[in-house]
Amino acid sequence: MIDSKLYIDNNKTVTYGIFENPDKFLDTVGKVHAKGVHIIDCYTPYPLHGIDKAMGLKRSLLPIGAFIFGCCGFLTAFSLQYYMMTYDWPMVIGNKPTIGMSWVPVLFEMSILFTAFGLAFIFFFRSKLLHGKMPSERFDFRQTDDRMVVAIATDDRSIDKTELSSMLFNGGAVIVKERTNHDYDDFTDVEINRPVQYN
Amino acid sequence: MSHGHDIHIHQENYKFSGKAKTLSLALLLIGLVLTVIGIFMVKNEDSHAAPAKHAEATHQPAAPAAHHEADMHNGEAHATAVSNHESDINLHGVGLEHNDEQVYPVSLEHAKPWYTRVYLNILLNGYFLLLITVCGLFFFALQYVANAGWATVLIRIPQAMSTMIPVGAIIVLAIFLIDGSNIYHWVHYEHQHLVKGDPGFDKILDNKSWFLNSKLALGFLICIPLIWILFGYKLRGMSYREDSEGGLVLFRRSIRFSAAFIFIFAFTLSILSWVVVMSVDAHWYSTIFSVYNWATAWVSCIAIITLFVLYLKRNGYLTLVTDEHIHDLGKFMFAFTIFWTYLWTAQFLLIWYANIPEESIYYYHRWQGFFKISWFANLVMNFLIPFLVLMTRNNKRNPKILTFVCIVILLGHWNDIYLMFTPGAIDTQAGIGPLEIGITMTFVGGFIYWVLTALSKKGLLAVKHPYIEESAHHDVGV
Repeated sequence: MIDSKLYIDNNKTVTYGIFENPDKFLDTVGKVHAKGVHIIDCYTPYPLHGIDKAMGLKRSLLPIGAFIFGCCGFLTAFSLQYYMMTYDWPMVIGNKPTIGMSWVPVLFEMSILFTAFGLAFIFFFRSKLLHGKMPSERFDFRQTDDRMVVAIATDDRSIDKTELSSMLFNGGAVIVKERTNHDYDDFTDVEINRPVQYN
Repeated sequence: MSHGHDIHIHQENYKFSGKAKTLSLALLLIGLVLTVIGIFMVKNEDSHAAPAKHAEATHQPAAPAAHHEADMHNGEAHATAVSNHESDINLHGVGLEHNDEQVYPVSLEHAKPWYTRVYLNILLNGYFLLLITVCGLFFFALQYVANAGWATVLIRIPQAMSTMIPVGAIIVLAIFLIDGSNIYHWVHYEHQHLVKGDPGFDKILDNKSWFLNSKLALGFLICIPLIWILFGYKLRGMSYREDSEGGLVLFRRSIRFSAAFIFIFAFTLSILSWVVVMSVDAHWYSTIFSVYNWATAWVSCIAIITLFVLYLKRNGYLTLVTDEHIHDLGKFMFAFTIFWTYLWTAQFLLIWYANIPEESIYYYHRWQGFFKISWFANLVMNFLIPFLVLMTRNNKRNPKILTFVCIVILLGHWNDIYLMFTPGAIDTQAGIGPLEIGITMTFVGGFIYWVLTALSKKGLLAVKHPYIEESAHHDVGV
């Protein structure tokens, strides 16, 4: 369920570009991904349509999780009702059979309840919204306001660092930085200068 | 959004000819032939087995005490027959011994002449047609009210469907006028003009007569479709004008008209479903019935839109429609399949659990004998198959699987409508034979012919709709 690649390793060098224009951001992310560079994640203040395809995100496994949780809820409700209403103390209400249609509402509700809770917990786990965990992906204070950030792993040497930074700048990045230490209150950022343009 | 390839929006014109035209006309003709065969079969069967059938009818478990003979009371020529049968009713009369405390059997119905089965089948198909076409208009209006852009590239299909509202409306109205007194027990009862204390007086129907009376019903059957037709005419007109004029004025006006239509639609559809369908079982009622009818029609409407989209796409039209739109239609179908099941279960469970004879007789009729197969098929075709098949994303994006599910859903909901009408109207005389298949085929052929003709008359694309660009770039993500 959890893609380990999305966790930023403390020892990795991460280059990140900060953008102000969503269209330029989307284009640049697409180009960087097309180069075969591993994009760790994108941070945008609002959902950006098409970003999942542009950064080459794989399909989420969430639906499978939903299905499993739903089945769990169904089985729980089934065994609960079977134990209570049929096995332990058979209760005949309104002369209805102890196994039957009267189970449907509980089966339905429990399936939904389990699916909803399960998905909520998976969501918290997946987006690292756990108690006591501080976010390590704070690249720019305005990434929750009006700026978009793309974080790119530059350790695997699939792309030259200067080439990457010039690509980001040409694509419309306002700032490009390199981070080597990812602790919440102790990180090292090196700002990369805009390449000089010779016209 | 500038991302991705640029899309050029240009008008497409559908040419209705060749295979589709032949096929729809063939369906229509074969349907008509089968209908004629079916009518003769039903007629012959009736003349041969009439005495046995009537004897059997009097011994049905649902209505052992009270049984009115078949009488054609609405023609002057049969006036003598009516007076003869009046004495019959006196003998079997309901209210003779226990006048007020009498608990009325819910199915207190008269035996029906053979041709009622024919009219009933035309009525149920006509009603299904009316519901589907008006849901097409609802789909169209919903996009404006919800400010939704995704369906703009295929909006001309529900629009073309909505041109057929008058046909369904006229059929329903005509059948109500021609054979209403046989199909609807309350019309039959109304013609008897019974007052309190008379033998055969029915307290429940008398209490309902302020609503269930022919005058009001006729008023509803004329006015409600008329309102829908006018709204459809107006909304379609604005959409076609937009093709040449562009701008936002017509779009904004469409939103206002759509909002008004949806508000009116909610009430009018409810009333129509009570008058046309629920009153078939005149003693019975269900408060969820109109929503249940809407769900049936809405799923079928979306299945039909999907089939048209897939057909047009396969023939090289609707180039802007991508897998994303088809996926969304599939999701819509999946969601409303579950919604339909929810309503079906909500109606059934309460009645089954409470087990009040007046209410549970409705399901008693449907859960036994001839209708048992239909009853279970209803759940399998309308819930199990679509639910299980449409669950995965790949299936929703696969045209072949989607076509299969659409057809299953349509057949299933035809069966659903069939189960709403038939047991109440012609209980023991019901059957599925060439008659039912033929009439349905005629309707299907006519519907395809009509809608494709309507599509070929105007452009296939709302080219100057403000959301056409958004719709062309519609993307549901990974």
